[in-house]
Amino acid sequence: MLRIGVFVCHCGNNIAGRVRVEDVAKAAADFPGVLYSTTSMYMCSSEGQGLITDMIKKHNLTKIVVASCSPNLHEKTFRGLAEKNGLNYYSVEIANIREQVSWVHDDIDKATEKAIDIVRMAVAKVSHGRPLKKRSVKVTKRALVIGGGIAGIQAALDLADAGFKVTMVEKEPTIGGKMAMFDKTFPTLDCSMCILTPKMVQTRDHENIELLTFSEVEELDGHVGEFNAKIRKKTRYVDEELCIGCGACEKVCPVKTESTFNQGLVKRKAIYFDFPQAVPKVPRIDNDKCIKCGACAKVCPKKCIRYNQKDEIFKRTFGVVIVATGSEIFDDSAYGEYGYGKIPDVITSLQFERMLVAGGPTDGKVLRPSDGKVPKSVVFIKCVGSRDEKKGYPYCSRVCCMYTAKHVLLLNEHHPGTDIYVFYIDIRSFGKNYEEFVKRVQDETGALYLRGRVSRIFDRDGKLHVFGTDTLTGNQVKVDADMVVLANGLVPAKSTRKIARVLNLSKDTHGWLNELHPKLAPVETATRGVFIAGTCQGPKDIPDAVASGSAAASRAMSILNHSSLELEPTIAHVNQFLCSGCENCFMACPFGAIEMVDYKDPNTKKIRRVAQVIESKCTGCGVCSSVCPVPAIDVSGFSAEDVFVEIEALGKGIRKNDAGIKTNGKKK
Amino acid sequence: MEKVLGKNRKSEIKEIEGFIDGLDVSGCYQCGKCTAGCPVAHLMDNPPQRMIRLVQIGAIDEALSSNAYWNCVACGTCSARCPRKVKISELMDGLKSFSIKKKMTPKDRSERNIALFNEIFLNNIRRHGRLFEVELVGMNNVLSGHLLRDTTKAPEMLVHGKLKFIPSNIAKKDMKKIFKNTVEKNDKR
Repeated sequence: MLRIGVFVCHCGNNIAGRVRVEDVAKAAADFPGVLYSTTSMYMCSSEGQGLITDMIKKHNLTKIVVASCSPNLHEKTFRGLAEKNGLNYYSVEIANIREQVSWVHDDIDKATEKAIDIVRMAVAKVSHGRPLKKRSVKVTKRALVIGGGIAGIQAALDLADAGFKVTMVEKEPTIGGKMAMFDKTFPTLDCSMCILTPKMVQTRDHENIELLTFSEVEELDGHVGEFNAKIRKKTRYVDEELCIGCGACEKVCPVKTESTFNQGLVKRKAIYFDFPQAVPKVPRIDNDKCIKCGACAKVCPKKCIRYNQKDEIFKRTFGVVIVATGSEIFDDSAYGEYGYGKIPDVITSLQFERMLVAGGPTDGKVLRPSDGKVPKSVVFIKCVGSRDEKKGYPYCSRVCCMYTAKHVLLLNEHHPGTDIYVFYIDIRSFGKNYEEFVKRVQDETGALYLRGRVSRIFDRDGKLHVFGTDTLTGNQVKVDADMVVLANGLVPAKSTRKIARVLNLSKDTHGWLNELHPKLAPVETATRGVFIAGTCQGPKDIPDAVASGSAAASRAMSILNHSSLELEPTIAHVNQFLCSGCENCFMACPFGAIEMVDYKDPNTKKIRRVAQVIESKCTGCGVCSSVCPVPAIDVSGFSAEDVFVEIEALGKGIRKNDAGIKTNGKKK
Repeated sequence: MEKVLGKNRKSEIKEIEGFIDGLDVSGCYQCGKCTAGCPVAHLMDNPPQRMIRLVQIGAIDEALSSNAYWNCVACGTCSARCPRKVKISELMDGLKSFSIKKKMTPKDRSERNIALFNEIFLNNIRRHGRLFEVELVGMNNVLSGHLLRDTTKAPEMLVHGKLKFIPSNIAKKDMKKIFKNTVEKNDKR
């Protein structure tokens, strides 16, 4: 027998101000199966919860309807409460009469009627619903960190220090990411490498970390607690175990080719290290450029060159995944007027950064790429690709204002007396000590900050004629410069776009990975057990990237700490007898959770293809159910029947007056 | 025509900054607080904040051809309120000295009269050590062409003993010293 209790919440004045909650409770008392109904000022308070507990015991209630706020907020609270009192976790339904009624309607009569309708629907659903059982999964106590930049390193070290096994996968031959390219970091001017390399070495040496460099995650399926990954370790043509990183091979290699790490400023060899502090210190042969002369194999003291080495495939199971695949700089060639790529002395900020590095391609000297001379006047142009809806992206890249200020300071330090001009739209120095840093730069260097954009750069007689504006005076201005540095914005790395496909992660319109909630779940994703850290989520400076790495690690630990986890039972299941095998669901499923299998029809004894749900992958989104023409596929707790019962209940309200108060269609 | 930046920018700015100890225009971030509180901004073709910007980018000629610094009454509100401690009021003074040094005469008659009054006032103090009103008003009215200006105030001042016909002529040595350390030093810069 049904014994339903209905509890209507005032939510202070939030609901009671627009809905006559007493009338709702009175009306609910007459719904079929309802044994008891009442109201309370705050149902979520301990008083309200105590009321529910008492009434469950007093009236021996079997199902509960709480008419309150969105189920996103307190569904868990009330379901947990019911479970504690011996009911099934899924025997509680929330009727949302706040977000869907009181907050969006002005007319109290109509709002009350609507609230009654919604409660009636919830009562119908809860009386129809069957108890569901939670699924339990084991948790594999190993984390996968994808990306070995500073965010990934921080996450991996935090997890490893807490005693969990970590596998770090990095697509480049060395970990370190973008931070390894920088000279100094704003605003403290810490040497970037000096603070990064200790962490890189710790990552390599940590007993709990398995480091897979020059590797990529190719496939990942499963669910929280048990993600199955296929990792391809690309061949370096060098035996990683034997190599001692002496670099003899690099010295003798006769091939010279563009160095991507040094942003094309110098040539590298076909067998190379990206930088001297690379971790692991193992070179890689660039197979496209190698001429197979065998010089490296001859000089190698450990004989570890392997020209016929093959890619290795690793298969691992992980409890959680942290994605930290990062970002890259905006491609300046979109701005024809700045002449990047055509005028050699117009360079990117990352090229400029490499020039500043003491051990970098120019030994810390700022040199014009065209003639190798030190520039006497340098123009910096900010917001290249950022805050530009036409040629770039509408967002602010957050780091360019600060790194440009740092560049100005370091340029003045390396070459005192350089005439420096900075074209900006706004100066955004939001962080701790950032504004002070910008002021210090302006005071110390005498750099002229000009508010305005540059319209055009001409290359004439060895001078760059930079035409722009100073909007503060309204004047057109022209600077005859020797070098122009473009402050590129950030865009998602290609690998971030790729990993989003492999892991089925949602992206925003620009390709940044979406967090579950921008404020309250900033490192979680819609897939439970998958976390994001660093700039794959959006532009971040180093402190923010490190903080998000630690945050992701800490969220991951809250899963890894359990030996098993309970999963929602609300997933899809197929009635294979009804399934016609049209494959609509198979194609519609965004998670690849449906497979087509053979099925022997009990009537015809023939074998036909039907759909089957891979339970571990299903998230219960319901897309399959909505595209099924039969319908043969349903989501537990949200079956077609469940929904129809609700619709029928809504219809009853229109036909007859259940409660004896103001009804639909009648005016007061 | 666009302003070409870079040519002598720094040296020209230094020259103006040299007129006032501790003046540094680079600190200004153009918040406009100076203009917001200026009681005579409505008389200026360039409001105070724009004057600083012109000096910052090295548009010194444009700054000097402005009437803003002649109309400045040196009340000091701008300097007192500036969040970046820029000495705006002092910059206005500096521009006056600079334009006198460059022998630039203001275009407008009323501004020429301001310059004239400043000169007469200083010479008056230099000669007599204390203000000699009769000479000041006399010279100013004759040279500016406003012969009867302020003369109606003379009787009342006489009654109160505020109008003397013989100059005090005090502290001549000290005056010499003061002017040597200020005005003459500026002329030499």
